Amino acid sequence: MHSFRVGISALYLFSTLLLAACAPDATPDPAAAVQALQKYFVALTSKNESDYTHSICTDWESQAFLEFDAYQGLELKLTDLACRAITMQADEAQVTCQGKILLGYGNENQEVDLSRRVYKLVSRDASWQVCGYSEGASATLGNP
Amino acid sequence: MNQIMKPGLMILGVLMLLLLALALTQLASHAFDNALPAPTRDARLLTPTLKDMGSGQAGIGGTGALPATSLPATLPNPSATVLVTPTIIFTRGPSPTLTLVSTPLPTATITLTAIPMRSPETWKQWPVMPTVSAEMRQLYQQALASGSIDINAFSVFGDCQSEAEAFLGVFDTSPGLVETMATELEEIVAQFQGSFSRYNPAAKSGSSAGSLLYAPWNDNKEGKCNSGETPVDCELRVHRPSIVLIHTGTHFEPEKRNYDYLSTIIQKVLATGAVPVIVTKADNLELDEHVNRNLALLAAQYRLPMWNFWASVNYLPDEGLMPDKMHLTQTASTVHQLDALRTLGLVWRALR
Repeated sequence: MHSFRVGISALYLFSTLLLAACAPDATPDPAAAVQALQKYFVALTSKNESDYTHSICTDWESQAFLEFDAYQGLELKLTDLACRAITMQADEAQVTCQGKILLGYGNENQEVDLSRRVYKLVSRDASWQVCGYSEGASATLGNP
Repeated sequence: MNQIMKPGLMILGVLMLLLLALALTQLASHAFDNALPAPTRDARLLTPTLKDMGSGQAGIGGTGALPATSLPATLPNPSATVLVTPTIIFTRGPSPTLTLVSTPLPTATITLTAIPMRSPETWKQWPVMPTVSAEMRQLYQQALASGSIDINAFSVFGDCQSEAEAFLGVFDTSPGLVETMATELEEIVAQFQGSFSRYNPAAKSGSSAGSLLYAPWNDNKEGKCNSGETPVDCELRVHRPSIVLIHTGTHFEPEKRNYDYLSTIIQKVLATGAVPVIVTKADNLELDEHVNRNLALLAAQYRLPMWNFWASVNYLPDEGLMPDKMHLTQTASTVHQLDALRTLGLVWRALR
């Protein structure tokens, strides 16, 4: 009887441990999503198409590349970038940033105020990718 | 006691076994997923190569003809004032045909046999001045009848070399200069007066084809554009040009995306009933001339007039380019202005 109880308890403990080990993370790491967005900005402003492609969701590619290609004739500079996750779920995050992308062409300068955008990121296969953003009113580039 | 405990223990045992089975199943599922190869991005469409175009050999499409172009059945209506939305259907075959279907007048369907197309591969030998196809003439006449375009308006889509101050604005702002020109050129200036010097959100320094389709790129300096409207959409809606010079490419994208963006721009212009005029560029910053090649290909595919500006200035010292190989010399700039005026006049007269 005693050994039976020990056996049942061990089996129960074993099963519980197995379930706990196999269960998905209940608390996703916002730092990973933030880092992914920062890498996206670096790829965008350094015009690194390969890194940019890997940082974005496939179904957002056409829109993402419109921005990437729009800046091809310009000098780009990323300034004062600081990002934080404002919502976080298991595989989806919304991240917002302070900072600007400066766009230079000759003597003309424009800027993208990143604080007006909220970026959506999705985690796929343990890596975060940027899947789009929503923007505040008047989505135009500003003059510094 | 055995009568109570035995069933209870059996139930507990079954529950434990079920839990164990569940745990093992999850473990096996994760192991299987990890064994699958990581998803890869879809291969990009191969860029059509023009090597065998027009030579009789099999190229893309297999017959030596231009690649089959798949277009949407209808083009978006960019403005509430457009009364006619032409549907342009291309078919590929021994005798390419272009069918223009105007809605909401289905009885206006006309099937035309397209003029023989020049090979885009030989764009450098294409004439400087454009020719106008019967299809474009018909499109223009239908648009005029519907009121979707302004016969006295034209637009230029491009970069700093298309902005009014650097390009055609002088024809509005210097009447003394206009008076010294030949009568036929004066007539063109009079016909399109007001279009030469006005602000145009689709002619902006640093523009590439993609940026003209990117809403945040729109400066909207006059406040006439709607929120979220691209430079192209705003200009087409506000100015209602009858002719549009598509003069972009110095700032460029990779070949496939450049082609796609240009194609989109062309379709947007055609949807309003305006006639796109393709303009080749003088520079070769992309090093492989894919922009001019794409422009010629699109001109052939859509039966569009093409002003071969490259040929306009190629004979000049340094091909008409400054040492940066991008900006035009003063001489080339003058040719640029006058040939643009000639192009406008030639196209306008051919469309009437």
